Amino acid sequence: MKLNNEEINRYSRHLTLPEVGMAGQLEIKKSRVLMIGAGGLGSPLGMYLGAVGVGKIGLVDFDVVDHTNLHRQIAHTTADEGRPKVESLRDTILAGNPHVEIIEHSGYFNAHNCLAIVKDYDLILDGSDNFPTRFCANDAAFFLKKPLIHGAIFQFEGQVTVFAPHLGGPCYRCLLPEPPPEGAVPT
Amino acid sequence: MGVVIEIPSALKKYVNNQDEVEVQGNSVEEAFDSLCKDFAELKPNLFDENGKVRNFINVYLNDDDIRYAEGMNSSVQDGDCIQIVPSIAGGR
Amino acid sequence: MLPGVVGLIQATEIIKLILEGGAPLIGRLLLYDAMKMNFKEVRVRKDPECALCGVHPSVTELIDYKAFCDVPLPGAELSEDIDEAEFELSPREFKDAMDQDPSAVLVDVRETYEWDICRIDGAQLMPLSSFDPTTTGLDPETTIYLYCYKGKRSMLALKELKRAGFNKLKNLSGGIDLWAEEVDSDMPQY
Repeated sequence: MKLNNEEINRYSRHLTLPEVGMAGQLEIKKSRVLMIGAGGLGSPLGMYLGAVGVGKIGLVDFDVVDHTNLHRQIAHTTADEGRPKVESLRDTILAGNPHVEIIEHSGYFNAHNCLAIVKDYDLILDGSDNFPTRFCANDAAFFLKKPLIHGAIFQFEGQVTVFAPHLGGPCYRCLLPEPPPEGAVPT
Repeated sequence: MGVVIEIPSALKKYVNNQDEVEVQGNSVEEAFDSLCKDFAELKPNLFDENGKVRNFINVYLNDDDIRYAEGMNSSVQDGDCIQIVPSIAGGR
Repeated sequence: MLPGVVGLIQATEIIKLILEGGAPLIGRLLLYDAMKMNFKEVRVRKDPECALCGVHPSVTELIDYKAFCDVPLPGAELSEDIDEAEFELSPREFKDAMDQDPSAVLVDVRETYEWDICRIDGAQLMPLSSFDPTTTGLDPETTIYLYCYKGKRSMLALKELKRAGFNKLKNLSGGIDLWAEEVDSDMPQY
C-alpha cells in the first residue's frame, strides 16, 4: 500500500510528525474501524477518523436524521432531515476526505448480525445509546478479540475507556456486571 | 477534616445540588450511613431494598473500585475520597 | 457539545491504538464533567469473576440482549393487574372528554423544564419526580386527566393514584407530543 501524491500532500502535517510519519499514516490507512452509532458521538468520530485517513469505516445505525438531532449531531445538516443517518454521515465523511471507504450497515446491531459485521474490522467504537447494544458490542468484540472503545454521555458527564480483555484489560461486564433496571438510567 | 464523597450529577438533586459532601466515618459503609442520614432521599437511589449498592453504581475509594478492597467494609481515613459513578449509556 | 468532547477522546484512542503509541485507556475509566470542567480517572480492573472474560465464564456465546437488559424497575411489577388500555384516550378523545366534563381536572406530570417549553391550557403541574398520590389535593370524585411527554410517565402516575384509591382517571395516549400532532398544531414539539 502506498500514498499517492495528493494523499502525501493532504497528510503532510502527519507525515512530518515523528510519532506518525509515513509508516504510521499507512497503518492508519490500512486500519478498519467499525462505528456503532452515527449520532452524537458518531458525528465527530466519523468526521475526524475520516479526515485523518482511516482506510475503511463501517457505520451502523438504524435511525433517520430528525430535526431535534441537529444541535449536537454535527455531521447531519438541516438538509439531511429524514435521511438515514448512515447515509448522511457517509456523505459528510467523504466530503472531507474522498480516500475513505465507507461501508454502510443500515439497521439494528444485535446478536443476529453483530459477529458478521464486527469480523471485518480491527477496532470497534461504541457510540450507541442503549444498554442492550452496549452489551452486544462488548460480547461480540470479546469473542472476536477486537478492542472496544467505549464512550457514553449523560447530561453534562461523559465516560470513556478502552475494553481489550484479549490484551489483559477488563471488558464492559467487568465494569457493569448487570444492566440497570429499565428506566433507572435515562439515556 | 473527614472523608469526601463525590456526587454524580444524576444524584445531586438529593444532596442540595452539591458536587461533594464531607462526612465522618471509619469505613465506606459508615461514610455512606452518615451521608444518607443527612440526605434521606438519597438512600433509595443509592441502595436497593436489600441495602446493597445498586448494581449499576460503582463506588471508588481513592480511584480504585471498592470491590477489589473490602467492599463496603473498606476502611477510610481523613482525606480519603469516595467517588460514586453510575453507569450511563447515552450516545446521541 | 458533550458528545463532541467524548467522541473525539474516543477518536484519539483509536489513532493511538492504530499507531501503538502512548498509553491507551485500557483499565482506566476517564470521567469528564463539563459543568465542573474536569477530567478524572478511576481504575477498572479485569474481574476474575466476570461472566464473559473471567476465569469461569457463564456467557460463552451471544445472548438475547434485549431480554437481558429488560430488568423491571422495583415496584413496576406491582401494577401488572391494571389494564392500561382501559384508561387510555387518544388526543382527540381526551380533548372531547374534557370539553364535555365541566369538572375535569388536568394534571401534567412532566418536569418543570418541560412545562416551560409548552403545556396544555388549564393544566396543573405535578412533576413525577416528586409525585406523591397522597398529597396531591386532588378530589377522587372528579375525573383526573393525566398527561406527560409521551404517555408513559403519566401512566405511572395514574397507577399510583389508582393504588391510592382514585378510580376516575384518564391518560393522554401518546402524550403532549401526539397532542401537538393531532389536536393543537400551534403547539411546539421537542
